[in-house]
Amino acid sequence: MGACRVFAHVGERGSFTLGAAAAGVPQPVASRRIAALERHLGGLLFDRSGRRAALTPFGRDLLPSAKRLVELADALEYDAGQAKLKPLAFAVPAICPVRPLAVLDAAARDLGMVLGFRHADPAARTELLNAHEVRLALVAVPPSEATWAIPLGVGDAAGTDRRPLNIEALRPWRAQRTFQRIWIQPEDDLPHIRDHLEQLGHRAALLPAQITLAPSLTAAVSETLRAGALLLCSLAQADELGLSWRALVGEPVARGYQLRAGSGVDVRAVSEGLREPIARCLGVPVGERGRP
Amino acid sequence: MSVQQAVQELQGMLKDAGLVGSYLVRDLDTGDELGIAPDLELPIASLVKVPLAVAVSEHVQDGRIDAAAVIEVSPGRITTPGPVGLSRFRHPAWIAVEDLLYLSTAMSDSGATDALFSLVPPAEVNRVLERAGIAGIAVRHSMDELTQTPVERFEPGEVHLAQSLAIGSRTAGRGHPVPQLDVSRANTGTARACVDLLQALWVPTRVPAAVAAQVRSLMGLNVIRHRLAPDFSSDASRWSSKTGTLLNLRHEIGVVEHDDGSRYAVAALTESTVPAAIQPTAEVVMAHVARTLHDRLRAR
Repeated sequence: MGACRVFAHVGERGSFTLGAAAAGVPQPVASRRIAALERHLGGLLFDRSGRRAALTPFGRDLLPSAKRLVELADALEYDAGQAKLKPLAFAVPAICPVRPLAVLDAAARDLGMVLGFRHADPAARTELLNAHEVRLALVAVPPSEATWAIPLGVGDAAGTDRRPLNIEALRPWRAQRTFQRIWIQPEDDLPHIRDHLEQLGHRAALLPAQITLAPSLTAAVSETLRAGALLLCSLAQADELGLSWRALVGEPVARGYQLRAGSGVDVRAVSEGLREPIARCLGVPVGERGRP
Repeated sequence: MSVQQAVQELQGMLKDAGLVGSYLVRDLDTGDELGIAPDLELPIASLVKVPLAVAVSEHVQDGRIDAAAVIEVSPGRITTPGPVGLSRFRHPAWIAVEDLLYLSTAMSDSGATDALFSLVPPAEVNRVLERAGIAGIAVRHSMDELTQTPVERFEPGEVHLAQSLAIGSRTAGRGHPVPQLDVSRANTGTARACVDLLQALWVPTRVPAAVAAQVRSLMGLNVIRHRLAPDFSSDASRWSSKTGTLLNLRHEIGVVEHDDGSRYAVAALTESTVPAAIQPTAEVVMAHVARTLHDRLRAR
């Protein structure tokens, strides 16, 4: 390829000196490459008898093809550069706030990646990855298998009590006709969170309606603000939503995340390189962000 | 609030508590009724002990059975929580028929019930019901079959699995792989049929008066009073009833007799969708719904 480039430049300019300079190589290198190309093609390209480097008829015949080859090579390199700038589609939980995501993107650029975020609920993230619509996804997994684990507690609007909440404390008294609900947001509509919490509720003799799945996070927060309900969320999320947060006694439920990738992405390297900024996006408690 | 709205509100309340309910309250003097899905057919569990008491009492009255006859009852040796009395006994006992009737009806002792079923089999109980003009209660088996449910096969810590199995497996036409919950194989009834039975006992026309009086008195002695009793009994009102509990089924039927002479028959049959064995909140909601229906009917 390098020889073709020199051939095109020298052929255009009729001078080894000028051609070599245009191709960005020293003149002896240019001469060696031309000689090699002549051997490869089986004929002389230049008539070296005169002062100028005149093309032989063979060289004249081949020059247009050599020029096209050089143009194509340039186009290939340009496209390669553009492709590197194209964002890597990355499915992230819908609950990830903007600033930590922007910080994550900045950290990824330092590693030579541009990330394009797609917000989606847990099931949709897996589907996007399987359908090759994204190349990276933060997939929800049980905390025992997770790279990132976030304990869940409850957020409430009134917020004076910061002590851990025992779920059994929500059981209505015999004469009580109203009850306090815990809303589960779509991000936590997963067997290891939803079913586990419901089972704890059943065991503690809560009404089944006391642990309810919300159609959206907004609806759940609205109930929390309006009706004094509790929102199942992480500490970071409660802070973001302006709710006060209480842990659950025994930390019975937690979110868990793992990075999964389509072919051609080194998931381990990305996972290691971006562990801290991803932890921040997911709301991993401060002390545990560096935890392997 | 209209009756429709009130009923809808009550249904919402049942749903919040994870219950599907079949209710009927009837004023025994005027015949006025208020209910929620009163014709839903459900397995009746221990409620079957009421028709059995009627049948046995009838046999005693017409001399076919001697009330004082002593019967040997083999011990039930059940260890899972719930069953009481003879069903938990570890050694044989000798008990008179009349006392078995008390144990079976007032204490819901299934060991006593089965001893009585051996004297008056299910088919005979059905004939007695038919003669009394009560349709809609089917008696198909004795109690020992009721105690062989999935609960008895799981470890105590895994009761919720038996409950989940009971809840999740209902098939089309109200069938169920657990025979005790299959309305085509279990002892079954509806809230309406139960109220008919109560009416036949409190306003006897076809049931002999002495028989009705005896069963009423036994139901008045019911010792299981955590379900509807707290909402129906007071010094000014007398609550006589029978409960029935099996896996996710919680029932109670009874009559409340007020000081002013008014009498209401109440049937509350429920099926829970919550896989937990102990559900005090469900019991409270269940009673609240029955009481609200009663109060609305009484206020008419």
